[in-house]
Amino acid sequence: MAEASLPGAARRFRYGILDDNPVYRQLLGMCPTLAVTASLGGAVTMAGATAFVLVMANIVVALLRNRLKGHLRILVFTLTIAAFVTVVDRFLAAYMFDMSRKLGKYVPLIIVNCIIICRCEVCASRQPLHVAIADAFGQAFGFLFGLISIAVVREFLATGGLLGWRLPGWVGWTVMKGPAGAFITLGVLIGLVNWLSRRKRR
Amino acid sequence: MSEKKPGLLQYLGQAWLVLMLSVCFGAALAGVERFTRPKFEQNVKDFIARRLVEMFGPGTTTAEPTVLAVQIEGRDRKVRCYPALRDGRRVGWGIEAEGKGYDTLLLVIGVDEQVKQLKGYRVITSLETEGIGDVIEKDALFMKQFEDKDAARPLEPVAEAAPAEGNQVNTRTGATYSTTGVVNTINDTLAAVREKLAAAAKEGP
Repeated sequence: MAEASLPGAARRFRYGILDDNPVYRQLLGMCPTLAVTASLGGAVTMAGATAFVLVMANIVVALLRNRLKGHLRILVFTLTIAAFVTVVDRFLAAYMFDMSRKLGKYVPLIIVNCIIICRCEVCASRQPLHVAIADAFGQAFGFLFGLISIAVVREFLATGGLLGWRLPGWVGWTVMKGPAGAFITLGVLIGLVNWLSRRKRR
Repeated sequence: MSEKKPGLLQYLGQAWLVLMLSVCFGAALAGVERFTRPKFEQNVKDFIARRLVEMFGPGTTTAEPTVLAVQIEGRDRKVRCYPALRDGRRVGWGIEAEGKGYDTLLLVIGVDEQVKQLKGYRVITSLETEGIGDVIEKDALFMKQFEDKDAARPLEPVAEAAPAEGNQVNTRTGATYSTTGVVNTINDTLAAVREKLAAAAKEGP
C-alpha cells in the first residue's frame, strides 16, 4: 500500500486510544488484560511495561523498515520485542521487586502480546519514524485506558475501595479477584463501549 | 536440471540484519544485566531476611551469605546460604535453592544450624500458573507441611488423598508438577549442601 494513503501521525495516535483501542476494539492483549487487572497497581505497571516495549519496538522497526526483507520481518520484530521485554523484566526485578513478583510470568509474556507485533506490522514497518512513535503512544494510551478501566471496576467491587482507600461496610465480591470476575468485567465493559459507540453514531 | 543451492554468502546476505541485531541486542542485554544484577541480588537478600523472620521468629536477622560450590543433578552450582542470626548467634540457615516445577522456581529453604530440621520454605520467584501452580506460595496448609520435618532424610511426595506420615508431603491434585517440584528442589539442594553446612556449624560462627 502506498505510504501516502496510510493514516498520518495524528490519526494514528487518535485511533489507538479510541477507534482502534487494543482492548475494546481489536480485542488484542487479552492475556494481561484478564490476568493482571485484579488491582490497579498491577494494571498500571503492566500498561507501562507494554508501552515501553511498544514505543521502542516501533522506533527500531521504523528505522529499519527499508532494510527489512519480507520473509524475515517477523523474525526481526520478535527479536526486537524480546530484547526490550528482557530490559523491562530486569528493571522491574531490580527496582520494583514486589511488583515484579506479583506480575510474575506476565512480564515475559509481553513478548507474545499481539498488540506490539501488530503495530510493527501495520504501522512501523510501513511508515516513517514520527508516525510509528505517534502510533505506539496512541496504542499504549489505549491499552492503559483499557486496563485501568477494568482494574478500577474489579478492585472496587472486590475490596470496596481503590489504592488503599476503603468504603466502610462494603462486603467485597470475591469473584472479582479471580478469572471469572475478569471475564465478566471485560464482557460488560465491551458491551458498554459498543452501546455508547452505536448511540454516538445515531 | 536441479536448482543450484544457495551458498553461505547468499544466506548471510539474507540474514545480515538479523545477525547484526542479535549481536547488538545481546551486548545491550549483557550491559543491562550487569547494571541491574547487584540491585536484584540486594532485593533477594532483603526478601530472604524478611522470610527468615517468618520461619525463625521475630528478632531474626541475617548477614552476608556463605556461598557453597556444589553439584546438583550433575551440574555445578553456587548455592548461597544466609545465616539466620538471633542475638548475634547463628540459629539456622536460609538456603537459596533453584529448581523446576512447571517452570523455574527460586526458593529459600529454612533449616536449623545442624541441617537436621526443616523450618519451612518460601517462594522467592516462580512462574507457576496463577490459580493452579501458585498453590506452592498461596496454600498455607501445603506450605505448613514442611515445618519441622527431618532435614537429614529426603522428603517423599505422596498424593493429596493419601495419609502423610513421617517425612511424607501431600502434593496437590491439579498442581502435581509444581508441588512435587518444590519437594524435589528441597531434596536436591539439601542433599548437596547438608554436609558442608553441618561442617560449617561445627566450626562455629
